[in-house]
This record gives sequence, C-alpha cells and structure tokens, in this order.
Amino acid sequence: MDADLPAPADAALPVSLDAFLAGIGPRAFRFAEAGLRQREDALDAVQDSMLKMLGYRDKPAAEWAPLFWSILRRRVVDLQRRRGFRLKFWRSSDEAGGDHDIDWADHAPGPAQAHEQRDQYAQLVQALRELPARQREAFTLRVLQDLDGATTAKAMGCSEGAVKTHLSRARQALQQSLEIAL
Amino acid sequence: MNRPLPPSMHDDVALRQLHAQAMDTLSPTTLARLRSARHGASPAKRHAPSWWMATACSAVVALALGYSFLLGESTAPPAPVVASAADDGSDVLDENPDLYVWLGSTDLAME
Repeated sequence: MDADLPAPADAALPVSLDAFLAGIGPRAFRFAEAGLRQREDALDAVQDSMLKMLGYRDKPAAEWAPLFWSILRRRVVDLQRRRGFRLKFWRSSDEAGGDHDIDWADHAPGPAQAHEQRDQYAQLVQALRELPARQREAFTLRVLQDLDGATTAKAMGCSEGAVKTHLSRARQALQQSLEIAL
Repeated sequence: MNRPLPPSMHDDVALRQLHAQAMDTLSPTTLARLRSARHGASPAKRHAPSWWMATACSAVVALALGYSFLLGESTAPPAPVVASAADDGSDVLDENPDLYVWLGSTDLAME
C-alpha cells in the first residue's frame, strides 16, 4: 500500500527556520484541527509548537520537519487531555453545543463546487476526529501531509512498522465510518 | 439533497488533492493568526530581554534601598548632650525659643 506513495513533500529543505514555519503553518493548522475540536485550541497548538521550534533552530534543516510534527503531535495530545478534563468538570453551555466546524473560506469558481469540496473535507475531518490518536496521526502525517515513512516514524516516536500498522487500521476505520455516514 | 461521495480511503492522490484544497481555503482570520504566531516565534521579535531588564532594575532598586537602610542604622547615634556643671538648665531654655512657641500654641500655659 505504502509503496505507491509518491516522494515526500518535505524533500526540498527550507533556507531558514522562518521560511520553514511560513510553509508549514496552514498544514500544521489542518493537522491540529483534525485532532482538536476547537479552532482556538488548534491555533494555540500551532503557535506553541512554533515557539518551541526556536530552541531547535541550530539543528540541521533536515531535522526540523520531524521535530516540528513531533512537538505539534504532543501539544495536540496535551490539549486533548486538558479539554477532556475541562469538559468533565467545568462543561460550559457553549462547549456542550458540539464540535467546531471546519475552517473554510470559499474560493472555488462555483458555489456548488465549493460546497461539495467543503462537505467532503468536513466528512473526512469528522471521521478523523473519531479515530484513536495514533491512527489519526499516522493517517494525517503519512497520507494527507505526505511525509515519508521514516519522518512519520520519527514524528510519532515509533518504528516504521508501527506506522504501517496504525495507517492500515486507520484506513479501514475511516472507510467504514464514511460508508456508515452516507 | 445528495451528499457528495467522500474519496476512497485507499485513493491517496484524491485524498491529498482534497487536503490541498482545504489548505487553500483557510479563512483570512486563521491565516492572520498563523502569520502572527510565526512572527511571535521570530527570534528578533521576542521580548524576553525586556523582562530580564525589568527584573534587573527592580533588584538594583531593592538593593539600593536595603543598603541605604543599613547605612542609616549603622551610623552612630548623636551623642547625648551632657549638661555640664556650668549649665543650669535655664540657658538651654533660653537658647530654645521653640519651647515657648509650643507653649503659646497650647492651652497648657493657661491652666
């Protein structure tokens, strides 16, 4: 399955940490958005990860991508735990109202096409939010973010074999979830 | 209204296309927040040194105050005026008209 994946998007190394962060910002937000259910939480996770990356600016540029995704992944898990605690004990009326819808500004040529794309992506994110964290991370990093197996394994802090296992389970679970939703 | 079919979870190319479209459709508010997050993470714009400066200034002021307080305590108190045998007390009063001013300002003198 993974053999037919194209070359990773991070092959070209950034010239500076600022350029790296500029390029990765939107991707990082979509990653955090799929893991967290509040837009503000997702933005906070990205901002915290960018600040933490400053401590690694002396590292070789090739190491920035796995480091950043690893930091962001852990930050998302932290915020999920904190949010779970908040929901349990201090659940407010607005939080009880449901998940944040995806962030989407229409730029598509026609309203029908824009609506279709938005609906498809919203379904995918909704299904991703239902997955266990490790499966969601493997699928998002490996498939959507187009990282190679080694970088994904480094970012997730596990072996490439474990990434393949999580990815395979994620594909099955997502397919079932989306078929049921139809 | 029919819901659009989601891409197959085994069609990585279609999934990546959908994800790429999602990144092109971030709202201006989110993009602005991401920009400010990046600028906040820029080393040139971090304001950590100002906190150090404020802490250092406070410490210097506190030390100066403490030192001046200690100096004030350590200086010997003025030697008490020892009345000599020649002094009969009235000279002291004569030389100190404040006493009469004070007496005049109170009712004690009238009692």
